[in-house]
Amino acid sequence: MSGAGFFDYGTDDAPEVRAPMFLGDASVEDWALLVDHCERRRFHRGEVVVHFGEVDRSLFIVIEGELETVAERRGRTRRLSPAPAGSVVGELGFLDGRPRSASVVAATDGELLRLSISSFESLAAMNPRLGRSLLFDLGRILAGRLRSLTEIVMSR
Amino acid sequence: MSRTDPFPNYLAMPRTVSLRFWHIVRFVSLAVFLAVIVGGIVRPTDTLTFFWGIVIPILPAVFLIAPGSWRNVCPLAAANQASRNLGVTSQVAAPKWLREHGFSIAATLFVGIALTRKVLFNRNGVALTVLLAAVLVGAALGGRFLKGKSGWCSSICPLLPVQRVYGQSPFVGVANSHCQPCLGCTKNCYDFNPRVAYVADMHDPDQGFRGPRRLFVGAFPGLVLGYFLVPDAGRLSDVQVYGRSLAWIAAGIAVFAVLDAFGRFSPNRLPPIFGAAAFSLFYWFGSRKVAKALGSLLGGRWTGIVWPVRIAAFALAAVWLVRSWLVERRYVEEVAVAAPVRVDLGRARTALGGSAGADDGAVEIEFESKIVKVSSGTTLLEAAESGELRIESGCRMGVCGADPVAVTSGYESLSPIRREEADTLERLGLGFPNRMACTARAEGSCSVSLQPDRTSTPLSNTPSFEPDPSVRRVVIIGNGIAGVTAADFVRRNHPDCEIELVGRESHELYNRMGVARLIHGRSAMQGLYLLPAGWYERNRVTLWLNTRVASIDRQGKTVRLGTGQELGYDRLVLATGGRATVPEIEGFGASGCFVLRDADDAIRIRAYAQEHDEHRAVVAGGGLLGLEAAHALHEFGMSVTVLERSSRLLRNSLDAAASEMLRSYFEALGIVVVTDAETVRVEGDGRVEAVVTAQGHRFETEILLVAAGVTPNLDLPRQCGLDVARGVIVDSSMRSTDPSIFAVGDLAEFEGRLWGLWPVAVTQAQIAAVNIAGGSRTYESGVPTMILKGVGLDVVSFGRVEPAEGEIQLTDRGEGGHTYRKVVVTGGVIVGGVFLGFGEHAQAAQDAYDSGRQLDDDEIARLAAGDWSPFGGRKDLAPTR
Ligand SMILES: Cc1cc2nc3c(=O)[nH]c(=O)nc-3n(C[C@H](O)[C@H](O)[C@H](O)COP(=O)(O)OP(=O)(O)OC[C@H]3O[C@@H](n4cnc5c(N)ncnc54)[C@H](O)[C@@H]3O)c2cc1C
Ligand code: SF4
Ligand code: FES
Repeated sequence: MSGAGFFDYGTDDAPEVRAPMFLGDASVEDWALLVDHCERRRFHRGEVVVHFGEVDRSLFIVIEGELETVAERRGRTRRLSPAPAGSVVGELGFLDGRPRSASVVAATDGELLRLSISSFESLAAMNPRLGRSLLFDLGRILAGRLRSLTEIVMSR
Repeated sequence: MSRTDPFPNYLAMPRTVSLRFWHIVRFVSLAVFLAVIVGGIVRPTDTLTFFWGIVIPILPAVFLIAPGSWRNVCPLAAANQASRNLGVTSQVAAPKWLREHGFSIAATLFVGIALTRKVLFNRNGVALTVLLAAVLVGAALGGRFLKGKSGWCSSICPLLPVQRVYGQSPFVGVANSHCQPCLGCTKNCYDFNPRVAYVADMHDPDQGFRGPRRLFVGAFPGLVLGYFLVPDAGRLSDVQVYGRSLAWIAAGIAVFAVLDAFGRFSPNRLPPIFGAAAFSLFYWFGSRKVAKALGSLLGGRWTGIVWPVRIAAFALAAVWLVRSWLVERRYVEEVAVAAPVRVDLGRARTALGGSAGADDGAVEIEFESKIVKVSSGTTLLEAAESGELRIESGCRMGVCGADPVAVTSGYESLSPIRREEADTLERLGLGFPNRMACTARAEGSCSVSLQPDRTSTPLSNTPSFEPDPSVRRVVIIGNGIAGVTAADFVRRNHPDCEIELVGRESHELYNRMGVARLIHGRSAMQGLYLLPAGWYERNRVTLWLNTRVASIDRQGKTVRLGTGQELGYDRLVLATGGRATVPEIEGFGASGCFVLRDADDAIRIRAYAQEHDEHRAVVAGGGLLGLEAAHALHEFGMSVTVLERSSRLLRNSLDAAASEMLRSYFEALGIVVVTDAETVRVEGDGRVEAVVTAQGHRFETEILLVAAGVTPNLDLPRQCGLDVARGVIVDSSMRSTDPSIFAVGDLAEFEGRLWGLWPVAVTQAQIAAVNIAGGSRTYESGVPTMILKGVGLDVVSFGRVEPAEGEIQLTDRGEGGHTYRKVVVTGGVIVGGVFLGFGEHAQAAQDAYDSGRQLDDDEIARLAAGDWSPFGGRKDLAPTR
């Protein structure tokens, strides 16, 4: 498990901080193909980008501004985690197609890319290597979380 | 909404006191420090007592309660950061050895100094002076050369290891006032994110990083105990002092290691216990020393403070311990639930064409519910689809009428309206500011409503000829696009005649091209209808739905309906289209066998697949329709096999390379494509179990969908004795061999060809209508554009796709192996093209083809070199060779 996300120094040459990168190996051309398959849209502060419980198989990449994941528990809204520019959000619903487990709200104005599962399918068909690395990266990230969850269980 | 970030970094922490305040305090602390240095020589006894007996004993409590305040006040930090403040630091990144071993150096220094206290520093003022002067110079030099605090405070400062242990769950958070801005000099920087730094250290995946830090905290209580329990030098030799102290340390480490090895604890379970133990032990013994120091400096008896200090220290340590554990739990939850997944924004932004938000050839299209950003030249339809908005589509070329939208602002930044689109808008009764989304390309930002503006005044071109008064009754058979277009244009050109429109299906005109979506989509027929409500009444077209024409009496000029009624006509239009061709397939008709032509076919397939929970389908036929249907079944969730009789897909429209790519695209989607596979037999007992090919292969499946082409509906023309070959033979005015009877659409054969395409049906119907109403227009056949749509990859071909003698072809394969562009050129003029993907270039090349535009030598040279900028688009992404 790595907490490198808490040390986002905002500099380019941060030392040894290597948070797991999503599509770290993708070239600009790969990104261009990805962008071609994405919806690109602006969001406004306070806008609910993903609704809790909704079924929507898509993945979000924050390009500008900040989103945040919020969960409702016992009637109280709890902020789970901020998703600043450069974050990927919504991977669970994207992968399993089950209802969204949390809402995602815009903390600021900004812009995002949205990749729906069907666009992903044609992206992956067009460039299987890119499709595979996208899935692998998601898999790697989820594996990391699963490990952490194991730690939670063990530490109780 | 509560917005408490459990782990704010220093930039996000509230700043209760100003930076100025800290500057001043720092001067004071530096002055005190210098005073101690001087005092070590001039008044050694008091200085030693003050330093070791008062200052040092206070520090652990400060570290535990408000560690950030010490980070801001520490005189060594002030010395370290002086160069930065004065602007004279060289700010080089710390060398690798320092980054890797800084902590171990710091810990070693700390232990070394602590052990040496007994033999030297506690008693020798000069030694203390030298020590303090040395660390001051070290801190200052570190800051002179190295970046941020990496030259001292965050690397080799001997107090850093202690600060990190004790400061892991501050009671009072004090924001870092040094680093303005952060230079990212240190891994898991304490000053950057104090509440999380230590847990992050303990959870670090790198054993080499985590190890020394754990070793230190394990050693810490032993070090404290040893310091207080080993007698002072004087009673023991120096070597004995060191030896016994080290033994205590070793004992502490051993306890830690044993617990760590057998305890199955999470990484930061033990360290706070050891930290709390060290802290409590320190004050248990230290309280007495402090009392003594106070007594000797100020006089009087101070033993009264001993127990209160001990109790306070215990309580503090206990609360701190629990807090530290909770921090870890919270940390694990945060990281586990929400470890942010990051992307390389730089590359993403380059791909977006410059920094987001800047003017980068992107345009914003504001739909009611959201704003979609697309590159200039994108159609409104593509924009809406990329935003997953509810929009229908069919032809994607402006002729079917599926996607009218109202442009509420920025109308002028859209590409101009062409003929087909204008006709379609007119049929829909829509004028300014409406557009067909598929043919309106946004060259600038605009706002769009997906509901067309029905209050608009339709564009109308009044006919340029007098209507023929002898035509009073027009009967049209077939309520497809050919029949409806015929009715529409007869009405436009002939305001008075009666129009009867007879259709066998029970639906008003719908988008036949979109029926595949009924298989996988949820919205059923909604959205497939192409006419605004009341269209038939408004145009005074008498509509007979669910009514079949049974026969035609050419002498009596009447048609007989299946209901027995008769309708007389002056002009008759045959627009009965076609039905799905079913080749000789033994056993076809068992349940599970389908074709796809009408909306009802698609609805039946969806119902069947759900009722029987089927998950395998075979599509016989790899043409446009077969591929679209296969994709629809795949989207529905079935595993699909396409059986194509010939040796490759879309043989007549694609060259071999494009065919092969299309095939691999489908296979990559998970759709199996088998070529040279002619379906001849269905196996199963009343229900499909497998299909067998002429080649002898057997494919198990529960659903068979045959997509083998269209057979024109020729019963009526045959019955009434018109000339028919493969279709009803018509001349260029769309007349059959009976001058009162016209045939248009999928059943009309002109110059030996039947296209079976929507735009052809529209054009033919318009021409027939003009000729019926008294005008004169003739039809010219050309090779229409082939578009494969709805499969996630745009496939377009037009004209000749293989070069003839003396023609050249310019081809380019895109990255990933599934995109392709090719034009065939003769004497600078495009005579054909094939595109997989590259939609924008396809459109531009097709425009050049339609208009016969001459490409100049430079453009051809560029195309040959793989630079497709002559057809517009993003030059920055042109492949480099
Ligand atoms: C799934 C699918 C996808 C397609 N995709 C494309 C595409 O991408 N591009 C393209 O250009 N074309 C496409 N086509 C073809 C296009 O839909 C046809 O070319 C077009 O619909 C022809 O129109 P039509 O009016 O001539 O015939 P039809 O649409 O077949 O209409 C004929 C109507 O006449 C009725 N009728 C028949 N006999 C009688 C009778 N005796 N009495 C009364 N009514 C009768 C029929 O029920 C039918 O409603 C596609 C077709 C399908 C099925
Ligand atoms: S990492 Fe940033 S906050 Fe931490 S010491 Fe270096 S410059 Fe200061
Ligand atoms: S999809 Fe636009 S008119 Fe057919």
